[in-house]
Formats: sequence, C-alpha cells, structure tokens
Amino acid sequence: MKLIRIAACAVALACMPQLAAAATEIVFWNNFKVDKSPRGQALTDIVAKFEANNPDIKVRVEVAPFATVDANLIQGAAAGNTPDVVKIYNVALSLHVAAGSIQPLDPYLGKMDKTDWLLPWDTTVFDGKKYALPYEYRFFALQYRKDILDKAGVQVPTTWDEVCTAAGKINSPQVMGYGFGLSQAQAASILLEWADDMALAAGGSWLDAKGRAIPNNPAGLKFMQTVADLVGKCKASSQAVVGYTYEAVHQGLAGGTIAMAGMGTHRYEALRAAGAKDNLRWAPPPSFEKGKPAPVHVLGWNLVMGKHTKHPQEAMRFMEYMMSPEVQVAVARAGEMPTRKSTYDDAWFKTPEAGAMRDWAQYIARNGKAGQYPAGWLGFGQILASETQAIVLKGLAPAQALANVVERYNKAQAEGK
Amino acid sequence: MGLIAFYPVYYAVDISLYQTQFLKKTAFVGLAQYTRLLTSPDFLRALGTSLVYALGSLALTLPLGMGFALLLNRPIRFKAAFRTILIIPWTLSQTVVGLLWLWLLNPSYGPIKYVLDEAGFGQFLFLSSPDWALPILVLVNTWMTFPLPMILFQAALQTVPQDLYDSAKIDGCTAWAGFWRITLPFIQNSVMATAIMTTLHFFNMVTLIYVMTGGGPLETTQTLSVRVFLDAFANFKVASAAAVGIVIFLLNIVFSLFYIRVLRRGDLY
Repeated sequence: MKLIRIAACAVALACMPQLAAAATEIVFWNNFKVDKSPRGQALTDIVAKFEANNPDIKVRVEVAPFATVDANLIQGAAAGNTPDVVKIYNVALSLHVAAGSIQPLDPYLGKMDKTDWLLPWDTTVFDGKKYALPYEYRFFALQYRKDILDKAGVQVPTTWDEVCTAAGKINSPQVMGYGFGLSQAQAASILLEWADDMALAAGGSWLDAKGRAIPNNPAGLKFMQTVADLVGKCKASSQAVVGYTYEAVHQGLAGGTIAMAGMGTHRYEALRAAGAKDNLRWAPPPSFEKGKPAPVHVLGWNLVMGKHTKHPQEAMRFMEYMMSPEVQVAVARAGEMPTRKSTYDDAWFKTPEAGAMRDWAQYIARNGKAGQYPAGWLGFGQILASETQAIVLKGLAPAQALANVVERYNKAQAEGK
Repeated sequence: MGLIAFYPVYYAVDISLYQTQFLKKTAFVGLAQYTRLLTSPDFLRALGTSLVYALGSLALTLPLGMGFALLLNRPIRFKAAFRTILIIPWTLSQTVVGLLWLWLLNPSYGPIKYVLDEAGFGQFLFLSSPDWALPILVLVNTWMTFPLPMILFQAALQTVPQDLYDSAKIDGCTAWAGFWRITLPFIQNSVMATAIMTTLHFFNMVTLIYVMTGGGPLETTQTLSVRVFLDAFANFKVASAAAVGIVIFLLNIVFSLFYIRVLRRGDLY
C-alpha cells in the first residue's frame, strides 16, 4: 500500500509540469479534412506552424462540410455549444448573424489593418459590427474549352448576345454550347451564383434591402429572358440543364461535353487537373454591354467566431494567423485566392503558375462587389430553380416566371416559421 | 429507453405548435401549422409524391427480393458468390448510389445515353424530365433496396419444411400453387415485417432523392420527407418541418396497422 502511494505521488509530480503548461484547445470547423491533397497538406502545415509558434494553443480541426455547416452551427448555438472558429461561406453570413450563432469580432480585433484587403473592410460588417474575416475569394467566371471553340471557329464571347451566337454554333447532341444548371439539388448553388451575378450585371438585384423579392424587376427579367433564349432562340443549351448541378457542369467541362459555362474560379485548377488540362481557359463573365466589364459578386469562405466560444482570445490569435500573408501565400499555392492585397506582392505571384490567380485578383479589385444575402437566400434558390425549370420545360414566359418567383418567395417569407 | 424513443417525438409535436425563429420558439399558434399544411396544394402534392414513391418502390422491391430469394433458396452453384454480388447495392450509401446514377443517367455524357444513342433511340432527358424523374427514382431505389427483402425472405424460406412441398407435389400441386398455398402463408410474418420496414424506410427517405433531383424538376419528386429537410435545413422553418414530420409519423403508423391487419387475415390464402 505504501509503495502504491509513493508511485501515485511520483506520477502526479511527473505530470504537474504538463498540467501547468496544458495547452488551450480550440476547435476549428473546416470544410475539408486534413489529408494529402494540396489544400489538405497546406492546412496541416499551417496548423502545425501555428501550434509551434503558439505552444499554449492546440487546434483541433473538425470537418464541417459545406452542405451541413450552417445547420450544425445554428443547432450548436441553440444548444449553447459552438466551435471556436468556423469557416462559413459568405452567402450564409447574414443567416448566422440573424440566428445569433456567431459573435462580433470587434472586441478582439486589436490593431488589425483594415486597408490591406481586396474588398473593403465593411463587406463583412453587419449592424455596425465586424463579424467575419474573409479567408478566400472566388467569383463566377466564364470557363471554356479552347479546343472546342477553336474547332468551331468561334471567338470567346464577351456579351450574352455573343454567348448566344457562339454557343448556338457549337451546340450539338454531343457537346452543349453553354452549360448551366437549374436543379434544386446541391442547394441550387450554380443557379444562385449565376442569377446573382446576372442581376448585378444587369444593374439590379433580386431582393431589396429588407430581403423581399422585387416585383417587375428589370434585372431579374433579363436573367429569365437569358435562360429562355439560351435554350430556345439561340439553341445554345438543351433541356438537360434542368437536372444539372455544379458537379454535372464541372464534369461536362472537364470531359469536353460542355464547351462553355459559368463556374467559380475555385474550380479552375480542379477542372484542368480533371482532364481538361491546358484546353481549359477562363474569361471574364459576359456582360450585357459590349466593352463594359461585368461586375461580379465576390464569394468565398470566411472565418468567424462561434457564439459560445470559451476561448475568444485564443480563437482570435488563430484567426489572425490564418489571415497573415505567410498563410495566405500557402493558401494560394494550394489553389485558393487570397484576400489580402499585400499577399500578392509575394514572389510566387510573379510566376506563371500564379498567372490566373493574379488576373482574378485584378478583376476583383476593379469589378468586384460584396453581395448581401438575407437568411432566406437558399429558399429563394429553390423557388428560382422551379420557375426557371418551367421556362425551359413548359415554355413559361420569363415575365410570368419572374412574377411567380416574387410571389412565392415573398409569401414564403411572410408565412409563419 | 422511453426517453430516447419518445422524447424526440414529443419535442417535434411541441415545437410544431409554435412559430419559431431559428430553433427558438417565438409564439404559440396551436394547430395553425397543421391547418396551413393541410390546405396547401404544395403539401398535398408532396403527399401524393410520397405515396407514389413509397408504394411504387414497395411494389417492385418486394417481388424482386422474393424472386431472388426463391432462386437463392435452390441448390444452385456459386450461391454464396451470387448472394454477395446481389447484396452490393444495399451496402452502398444513398449518397454514393445517387451520385453513381446521376453519372449513369447524365443526358450529355452518361453511358446509358451513349447506349441509347447507339441503339438509335432519341434524346432522353431522364432526371430532367418531369414525367420520368419520379419513375427513375423509384427504379434506382428498387435497385438499391431489393437486397434487404431478398436476405430477409431467404432466411424465412429456410424455415419452410421441405416435406410440405414434397407432399404437395405428390398431390399434383404446381410450383406457383405451392408458392401461394405453402410458402407465403408460412413466411407471412416475415413478409409483413419486411413490408412495414421498407415502407417506413421509403417514406422517410431523403438523401437519395435530394442528391439526385433536390425535389425537382418542377417539384415532381419533392416528397414529404424532402420537404421536411428543406424546411428545416434550407429555410430554417423548424416548426413547419416538425409539423410535416408529425404527419409522416402518423402516416407511418397507419401503414403499419394496415399491413398488420391485411397480412394477418387467414382468408388471404
């Protein structure tokens, strides 16, 4: 018995330094896992370096996929238990501010530089409070198969009329001229991104400042008419677009069964690696006016702080590190577009490898805007998908489709939750 | 045990009687959610879609499962290998099955489209067609699910005494009559349990439908369970989702009681 007591004391004494120096563990919800992929490996290295430089903090990375992160964070907040740092998509920021699942960063920001960003600081400010740090940017660009366009003898279109003509010339049962997706699956994400930018390019928006759909919306009507024309008048696409998702269009571009499509710039390298190789090129999104570049809503992942974090100071230290130029360059090398201006001064951005990303950053700086997306934006996408499908499948008039979208969305928002 | 089984149901009933704002109750509204649902054309359409999907899948899955079970119950060569191969669809997750069939059925580059083109058929829209999307989902669901009844029926078939078949054969009974007069009555409890289980499974299915069509095109594949998912996790209308969930729960009870009554009736045979 005496020996047991001595042994127990010895163990306790041996553990005391470790206990005294026990690191604070923070939980980071990330949209992909730590693996051997370029960005998985980049994240591993980033976290390891942070922990080495901050031995009092340990970062536990948990995977929170795109499809479930918002619901899980809101549920966690309702249960009083949230992770410390979360990566969420900018479209969902308003949702989380409204749901109270994230907290303002102002008390912890210190002297963070507010000017060293591609987009203004207040793009992630809601009700006068800073809620998120933009981690990565992307926008909806025109991506095309140069081999197919060259074979058809068409130039890269710069306006939607030119898309109509060029894609109409290419379209066949084997190759779709202009690919897009109207499916409700995958949260109608490809449709929402396209419709969002089209309304902006047409000089308007879908929803007003209070989050209500705008009736008789000229910008919305232009989008609906474009959908009708691509499948109808131009014969640039087929009715198959009704069932297309982001993945279907991605695979079509990669495999050469779609000649042109609007896709997020984050897909560019993946498309080239998936089989398109050097045949895949990008161009600015088409505009409605020749010679006038189309404005784009800049999308991307943001870092936010969970509402119920027990370690806000440590969480902010991690977030600041993730925003550092060193990490942003690592992120860029892994294929994601950095958000800080100074990052682009790094020597890597002068290499040919960084060519596309450099050009995207310049496009964002000149034409990028931050969108405002209310809590009901995903629901809007479902309704928009349904009515645009009716345009393609039933020949519903674009004006009527728009009126239906407005009526259904505003009614759904007004109904009890 | 009761807490685990019944508390979620109690919580769903409770929250369905309120208006909610992101999981928080804001006002008590009583049965208003249910009244709105039962008078909503969208809800009634989703109910019809759910019934077609569940009963259509059941009508194909059970006979297919029974057919393969009867074949596997015979003394055939490589039975274990056949059984293993036939079970494979059931081992795949609904997401994987959905993505697999999305690729196979893609109207631009899918292999099925290629085969139909080579055979001289015209362009098929498959899941982009409002007329074909639901039947295709039923067929994909059947492909994925038939191994379950197959395994359950095969186990049940092995409890039927061979003597009965031998005696019946002597009396001139055909194989078909033997199936109706001997096999089915003997395994009716297994058939009943399987029918209940698979109907509940089909009625509650979300992932396969959401991955393949998201409820479209034109809401032709939006079942009640998909609607619950969209209401709860896309629109955050938790009370509305709970109300639909309770309706599904009650329908499941009705189905279960119906099967028990029908399949326990001796005069069925």
